[in-house]
Amino acid sequence: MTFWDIGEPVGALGPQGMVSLRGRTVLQACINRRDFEVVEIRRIQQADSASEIIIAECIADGIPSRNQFGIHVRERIAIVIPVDMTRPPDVRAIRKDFPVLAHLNHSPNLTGKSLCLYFEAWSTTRRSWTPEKFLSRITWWLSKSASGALHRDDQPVEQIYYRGETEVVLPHGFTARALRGEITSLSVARVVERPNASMIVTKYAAGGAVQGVRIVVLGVSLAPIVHGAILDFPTDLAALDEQWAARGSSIADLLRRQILESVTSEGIAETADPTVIALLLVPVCRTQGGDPERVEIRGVGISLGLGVLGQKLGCLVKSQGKFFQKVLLGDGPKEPPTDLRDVQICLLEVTHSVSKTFARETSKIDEATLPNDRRVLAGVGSLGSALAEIWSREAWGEWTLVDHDYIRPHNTIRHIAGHDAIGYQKVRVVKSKLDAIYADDTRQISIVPQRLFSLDDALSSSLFSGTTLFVDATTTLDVPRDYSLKDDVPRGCSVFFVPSGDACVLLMEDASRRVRLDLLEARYYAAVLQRAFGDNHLKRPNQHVSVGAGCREISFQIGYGTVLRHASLLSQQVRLRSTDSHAQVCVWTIDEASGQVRVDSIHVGGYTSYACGGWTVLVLDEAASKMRRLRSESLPNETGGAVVGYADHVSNRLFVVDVLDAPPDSTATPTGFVRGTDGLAQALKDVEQRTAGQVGFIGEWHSHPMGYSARPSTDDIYLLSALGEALATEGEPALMIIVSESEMRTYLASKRPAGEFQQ
Amino acid sequence: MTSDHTVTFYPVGNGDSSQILLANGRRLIFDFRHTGKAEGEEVPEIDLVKHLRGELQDAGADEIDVLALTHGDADHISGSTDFFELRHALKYQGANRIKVKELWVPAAMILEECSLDGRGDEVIIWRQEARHRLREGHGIRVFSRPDKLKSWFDGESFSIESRKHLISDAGTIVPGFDLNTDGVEFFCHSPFVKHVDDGDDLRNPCSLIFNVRFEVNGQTTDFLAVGDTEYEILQDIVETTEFHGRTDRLEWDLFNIPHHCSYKALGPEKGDRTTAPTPPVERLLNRARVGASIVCSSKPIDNDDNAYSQVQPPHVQAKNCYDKYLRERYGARVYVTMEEPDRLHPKPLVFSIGSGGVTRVAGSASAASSWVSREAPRAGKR
Repeated sequence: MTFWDIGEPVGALGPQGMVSLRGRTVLQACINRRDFEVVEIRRIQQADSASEIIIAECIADGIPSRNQFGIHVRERIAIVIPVDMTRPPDVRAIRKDFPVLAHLNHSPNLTGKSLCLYFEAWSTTRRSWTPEKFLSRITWWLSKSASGALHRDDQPVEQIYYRGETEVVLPHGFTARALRGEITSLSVARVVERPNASMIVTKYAAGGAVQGVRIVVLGVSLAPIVHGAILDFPTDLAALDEQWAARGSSIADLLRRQILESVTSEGIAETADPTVIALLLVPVCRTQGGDPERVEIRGVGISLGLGVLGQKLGCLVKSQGKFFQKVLLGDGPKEPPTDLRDVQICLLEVTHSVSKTFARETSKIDEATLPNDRRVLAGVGSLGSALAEIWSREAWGEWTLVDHDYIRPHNTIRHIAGHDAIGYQKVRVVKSKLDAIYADDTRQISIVPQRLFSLDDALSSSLFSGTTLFVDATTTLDVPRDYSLKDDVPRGCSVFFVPSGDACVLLMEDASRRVRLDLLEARYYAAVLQRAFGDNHLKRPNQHVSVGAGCREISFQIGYGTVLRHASLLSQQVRLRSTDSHAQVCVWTIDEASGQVRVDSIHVGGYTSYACGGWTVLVLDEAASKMRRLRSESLPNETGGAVVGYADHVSNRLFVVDVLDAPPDSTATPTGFVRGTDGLAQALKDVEQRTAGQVGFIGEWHSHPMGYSARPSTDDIYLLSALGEALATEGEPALMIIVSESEMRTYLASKRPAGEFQQ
Repeated sequence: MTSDHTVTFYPVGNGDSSQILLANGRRLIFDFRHTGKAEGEEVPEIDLVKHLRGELQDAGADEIDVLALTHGDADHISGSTDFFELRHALKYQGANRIKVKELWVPAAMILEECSLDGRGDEVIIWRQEARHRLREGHGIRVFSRPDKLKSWFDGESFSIESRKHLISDAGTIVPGFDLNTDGVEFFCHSPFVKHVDDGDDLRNPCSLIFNVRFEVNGQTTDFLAVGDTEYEILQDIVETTEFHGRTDRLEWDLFNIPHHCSYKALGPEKGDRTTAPTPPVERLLNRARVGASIVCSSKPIDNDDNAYSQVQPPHVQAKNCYDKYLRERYGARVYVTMEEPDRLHPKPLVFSIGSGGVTRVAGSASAASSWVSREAPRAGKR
């Protein structure tokens, strides 16, 4: 059998030969296990990073000795451990004839085949990563692959690809700017022709004609008209001029002035003489002689080209096929108005691009929800982009979007991006889509095309500076958990929907951030365990589709409608609940068949944190009161049971989610407690199933009777040490909680100092 | 056969107890060691009686197809006369005892004249049972027919001829199981006639040794099941089998190594770090198929200085030898029954035999689940 060479050998074979802490602990874990035999230690220096390599033979259980997939019971692997702990370790099968299987990382130029071990991104995986569990994951991969159980159906996903009268659409804020005299002409963005109508969409920026149309703005000096007076609209320019002359304004003069302004010394070619649309700004007063209350804009389409009109108005002359300004001596003689009788005009409908204020008003956004505040949204995937779109359309908030990802083909099924956006960064695509919603360009979306917590502190603090809300729609564990450790950031909330698509969840910190997202996550799991909605809440659907060659590129079968249903619900709830200063955990479960939505609002209490052997143990108030209640009910006897929760190996926080009742075969006396086993294994299996493996056994608790402290007895110390030994086989810390009448204490046994894998 | 068979080795310390459960439900137990001290669960050894009874109850069975006693040493039969129903005396019947359809014993077990030296009580009971079944003419299989056995028949009221269907010789397939209907056949390697007739000690040299050949979906898997034996016997087996051109019967995917990892099963010298096998034994070790596994039914084997000076098996030098040959053959590893999945709480070591050869059934549960499967140590104010 021949093997790939990878890296360079280093001298020593023991942990002392390894530079990185992670390398040493993985090596020690290999040595502690019988199913790994270390062959040698090597090292590789690549362009920007160094890695240490453990060459080992892995003898995984569960591999048929002659399996059809070609995996050997004894496989030589290279465990490549980057010195940089933010990068994942890589495991490569280095037997040269190792088979090509599903669940290999795409690594054409690597020596050996890289096993795809985790379904989640490394940033999430490292939260629960220990060297011991990592090695188990390798054996799991090999044995599952050898029995064909890792194979999934690589079914391809079907690619889904993606005019009356004339109406003038004015850009946002036109009226105010025109009244200030800032705007004398507009550009045409486009003209859309329909059989009997056309729509002319305008934009700021002066300029030449577009699609043969030129817009001139007439107007500020038009005399006000009184509200309620309805004028007949004339059909020729002379009549219009007369109509306004009676009110002290000369349309002809205004037109002359604008035409002269818009004709340069180059002149206008006769062959390119644009149609003129004149916009009349008409101030409207409530009463005669009063101040104008508003300005009405009338669009007037003129049947002549600009040059011909200028000629008729006596301000342009034609020479060699071009129209030039006519040099007037003094005031000069005015052209007789009769000349304008044959200039046909028609009234155009004028509509305004909507303002954000109008959008809010139309969307019934209560001003109390602080519509103008600056906010940050992390994650513009399916749900995040839908939320961003809803809030943009409602004009709720000024948003900075943060996402490092880019659009892949399958995203377009459940994303506002289309096929033309594939390959671009999501934030850029979303920004361009959302900025285009309104012509109001005063408050565009800001973007940060990076991972949220890869930002350096300066960038991070400028991102959050002056913002009032952070919405996490990343559906990761790491973003909300990292966020929880940050001070000087705004109130945060997390939104997500479950893999089945049947429910969505909102976790929102209280306004003063006393209970942060990581605690709310724990509270949410507690509710999943205790409430009826949790029965199938986190159940993963059996069906999924593959959206790429990679192993993590699977997608659950959820329609965009379902995404939007959750997005619409969550967008409202985030908006409404952000006015409530309390911490909130809320779950909406939707009955697919009937469309009924059930809401579970979960009370959020506080928590107590204990510093314990380098770890922070966080006990939810609900779990603490349950222990106190069970203690009181059992007096004069002691009681206890299994503690369920989870450890975060990046933040070194141990979350106590709940405690289970003492198994019925436990022995409880006034001087001691021996936790039994009846039904416990099943109860813990249920805990893991309900929480999709997030929550599990983390230790034991017991009570002390009246008159005794929560300090550990000799028995207790023995128990903790035995428990520590047991859980150390997976590299997990072991927790013991003692509850007395007046206090609760936590004790931790961990073979590994906390913070080892923290960068 | 289309479904899998299992072979299970129980953690009974330096002793042997294993079970073959065929896909069709037929069940064979090879040796039985229940020391009684395991009943309190304070020692790592499995409470074999409780465990086997549970297994049989779960299967709704009060009877096994075969009990094979490879030889009469206490570490292979202790506690067995309290667990199984014996036909020769009423006092060994009833009370939930497990019935044995067919008892497999080496001829030596019929012949042995044991004194009641304390360790021999149970072997005498089994000798009586074996003789009883032989007289009855059913429910027994005796392996090898040495002259001494023929002499024994002279004292009985029936001839050896009348019982020849109950006697199997080395080099033959044991009747009663075949590849077509059971997916298994037992090829008897030992005992040899000469070992029974020549020896003064009838125990280890006359131990039962089988090539157990499984077949699932046309895929053959060979299990070399060796009772306590020493290298001279293994040499004889290798040489004899080679001589007869039956080397396929020496190939193995699973090898239950003899005598709790004693160096004496490999060669005459223990060796400093590694025992050197004699050439014929080495040939046997080299007949491991790729991915093969070795099972060592013994106490845990350390690898420190003290371990190298141990007199009693298991011998770490012998384990190093097995390791070496197994690695060279890209085999799995030497599974020590008292080490799997851990030394404090060993569990039965299970292999499944299927169309993919032999598979070690994943042994270790999660740390949390194995912790909560046991009562927690006492907690409390005291």
